[in-house]
Amino acid sequence: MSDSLSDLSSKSIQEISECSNLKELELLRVKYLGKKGKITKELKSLGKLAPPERPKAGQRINSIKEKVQSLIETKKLVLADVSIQEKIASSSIDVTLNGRKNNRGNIHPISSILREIESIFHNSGFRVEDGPEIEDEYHNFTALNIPENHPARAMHDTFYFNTNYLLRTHTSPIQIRSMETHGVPIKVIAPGKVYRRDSDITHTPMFHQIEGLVIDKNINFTHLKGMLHQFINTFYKKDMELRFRPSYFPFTEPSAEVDILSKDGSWLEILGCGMVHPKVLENLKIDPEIYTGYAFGMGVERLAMLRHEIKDIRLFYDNDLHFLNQFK
Amino acid sequence: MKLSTNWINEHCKSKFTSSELVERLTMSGVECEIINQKSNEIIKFDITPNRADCFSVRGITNELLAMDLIKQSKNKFQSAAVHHDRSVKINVSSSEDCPVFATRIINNINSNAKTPQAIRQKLEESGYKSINIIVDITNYVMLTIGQPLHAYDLDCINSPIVVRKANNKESIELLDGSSKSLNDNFLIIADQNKPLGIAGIMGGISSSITDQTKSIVIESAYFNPKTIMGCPRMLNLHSEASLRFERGVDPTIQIEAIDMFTILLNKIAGGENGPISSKISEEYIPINKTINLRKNKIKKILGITIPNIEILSILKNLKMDIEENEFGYQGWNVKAPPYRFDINDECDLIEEIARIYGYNNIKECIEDEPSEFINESSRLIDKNNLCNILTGVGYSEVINYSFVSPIMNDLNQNKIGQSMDLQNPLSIEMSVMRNSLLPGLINNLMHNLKRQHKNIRLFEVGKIFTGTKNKINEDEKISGLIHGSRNKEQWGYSSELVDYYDMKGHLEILFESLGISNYISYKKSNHKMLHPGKSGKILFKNKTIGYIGSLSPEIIFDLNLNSEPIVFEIDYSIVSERITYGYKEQKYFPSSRRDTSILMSEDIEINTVVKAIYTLNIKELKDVVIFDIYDGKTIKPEKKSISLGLIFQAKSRTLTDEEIDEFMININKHIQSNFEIIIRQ
Repeated sequence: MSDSLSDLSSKSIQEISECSNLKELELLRVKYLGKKGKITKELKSLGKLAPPERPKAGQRINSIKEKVQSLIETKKLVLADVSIQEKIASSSIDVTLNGRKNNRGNIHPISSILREIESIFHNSGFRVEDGPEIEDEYHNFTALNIPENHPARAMHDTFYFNTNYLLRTHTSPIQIRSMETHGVPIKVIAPGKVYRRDSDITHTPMFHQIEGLVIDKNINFTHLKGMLHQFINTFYKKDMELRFRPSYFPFTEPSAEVDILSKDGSWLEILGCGMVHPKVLENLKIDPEIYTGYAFGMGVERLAMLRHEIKDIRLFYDNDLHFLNQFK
Repeated sequence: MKLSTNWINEHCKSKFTSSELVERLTMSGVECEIINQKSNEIIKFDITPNRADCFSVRGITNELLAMDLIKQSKNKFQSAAVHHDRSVKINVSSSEDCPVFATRIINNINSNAKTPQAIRQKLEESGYKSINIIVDITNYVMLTIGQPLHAYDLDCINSPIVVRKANNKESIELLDGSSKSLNDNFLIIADQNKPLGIAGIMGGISSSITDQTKSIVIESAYFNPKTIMGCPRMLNLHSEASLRFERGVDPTIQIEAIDMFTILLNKIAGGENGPISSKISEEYIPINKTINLRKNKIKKILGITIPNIEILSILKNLKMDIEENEFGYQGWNVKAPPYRFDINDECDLIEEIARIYGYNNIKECIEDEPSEFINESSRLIDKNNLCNILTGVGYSEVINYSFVSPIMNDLNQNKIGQSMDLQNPLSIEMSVMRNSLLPGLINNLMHNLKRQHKNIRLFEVGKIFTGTKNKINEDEKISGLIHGSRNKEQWGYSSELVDYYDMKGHLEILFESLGISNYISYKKSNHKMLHPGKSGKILFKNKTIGYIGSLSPEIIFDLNLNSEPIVFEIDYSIVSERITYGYKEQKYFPSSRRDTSILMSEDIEINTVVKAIYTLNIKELKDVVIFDIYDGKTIKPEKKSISLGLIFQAKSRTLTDEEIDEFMININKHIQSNFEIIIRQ
């Protein structure tokens, strides 16, 4: 008995020390310490011994078991380390190789500027309004103080469907529609497509505008100036130098164009604005003696062209991916 | 209008540089810029339609006076000598249209006289070719004081001269060589036999000045702007005269203009003058009304207080008649000079004060209203969500014109409404309003394929237009198109072409993000642009919201494409149908999965089987995954084999194997009794 135990002990120690991988080690663990393992068997056979021999033999077997256990644990750590090192040594990739991917698409540059402007005004308390692109003569012209045959209509080369219906030439009719719907006081912006019969390097027959309208009891020209200056600073993300110069729109008076000072020192026109003409208010049964307001409108393509230094407006409508993919 | 800086300086005896003039005039509302022409600097004016008075050197000078940049100089008004008493008989039959009509006969003109260099140069710098001495002087007078003149060859006129509406049968050959048919919209100048010219627009060729002309009738008129308005547009004929008459010419300078013309002509080309013969209908000459200008209204509109003395000085420099109200405490009664057709109301005067005072001298303020918190705009959230999802799966946004060619509209089925056709399109390619976004996307695909792009994914958000009897419909749509390989060419992926299910997956991501997947269903259907076997309509709560499918083989053949584009078009309004589900507390218990394979006929839609499983209402059935579809060689051609993974999970405990076995027995029994299928274990 004693001899077979020492054999077991030395054999297991030898086998563990010679073991070279984790799989084998696990087999050795099962062989000696498993449910049917050799050491387990010895422990189970203790019962067959005469009671006085049991404690001594038990002690011996347990000490072998502990030793084998601890040797396996230690060996396991060593072998695990070896195996990790082997894995590291045997596997390596080209980290410079391109990743697997598919391209992301882009938002159209006009859309992103529209959304940016919409968001700036929304954050300042403006509600966003839509209107029809096929308008009637009344909302596009008459209500805006542009009577029939007035030379101001020549400023807008209009697409007609028939004598009454046309493609809106500006987003200003949305002013009229939102006052009809919501009355005053009012604070809205109206982004959208507009159409004029014109096509060259700086004109496309369809383009985008954003119109703004504020009417309340104590609104005056200083507010128009203050609000637009704030907007322009926010849009350009810096303090901009600008000038307001007199201009003419039939539906505002006084009317102004706003120019910003460009890098090369020249003035660039970026929007038109003015105090809402009393006749426009009267057309909507709003008393101009009580309410005053301002309106402004800007061309989105123009802002995009200035921001991205694009020379030809038609590029926006070619929808060439070489162009579109540049606006990430 | 173009004028040389020299001419302006000469006229107002000043020494402005071109840039000084441009700067000051721009800031008073007269838009202009320097254009260099040879050595002399020329200023090009872009005059707004309200400022009829600025179309001359005198008009520009008036602006400089208004800004107090020059001092008023008294122009001596001279009358020309009269040598004989012959005059032409005038008959104005429509005085309201022509309140002032003045003429003079001048005989014995040396029409070979050369236009002096000083005048010639000014005209050329303003863009007028020198024609002959008579025409040159009419142009010179017009540019100097703003009155268009017209000279007729006396020998070609059969007097009297009549000013009347044209009749519907008349036509006229004009100076520019064109021929126009007339009608009673047009006022004409005529003699006994024929029209001599269209009033305020252009003269006729028959009585025009030639090298042989010895005697002329010079005409100087004031036409009612309302009479002329719109006529140049109807004729598509915009002349220097119509530009001015349409907006309004000073009704008090007709005699002065004839005299100025006569004196210049006599000096250069001699001639014997008759008396001025005129027909003036005082009652139709516009008189500017007196406007009550209130001090507090100026403050209300401009937001600043301008001292009375400054207001008065501005109004005086604008040559307004002023009368104080309560010594100016209340304001003033103001009357604008006759050449200012644009000043009819108090707001017009306030604008005048503001522009001369200087917009840049008005401070900036922020409205002093209580600030409100505003939540993020749902409109923007919806749009951003849509764009993020579509760009995330590779779509780029395009924007196409809303008008297309009729052929493009014909591609789409459109039985509901009629097409909206433009009366005056730029071209046939842009002549009807689009009834679908898809033809535009197909165009974009073709354009980009030509530019050697591959694997194209595009989307557009925009309106489509249809008309019905009493209504015009504008419906906002989202459309998409994909074409080419599923993955861009790279290592590690095989190149497979996109198909219906790629695009359907993209839409599913969109609907999941909106929380509406459970309300969306698909049904096979026919759409004129789509492949009948590979397309369907999309329903939300059983209402059709759009279509998805491969482009029809006919279109693909016509376009000569070598693989199928897949497209969709759905209502944009779906993006605002977002459903938000609140948080539900859940305890975790492990789930179990059972797989099953089913052999079924090709024409059974797999989803009807999945739906049937759900109708058993097994609460513990959490998900059904279709993880394989096989229709290969080992099974009969009309059959397909699908593999489903059924995932079970209870909310309050771990399910036992026995429970799940029972679910599976029920499920198999149920689908076997409802469909002709074989369960393959």
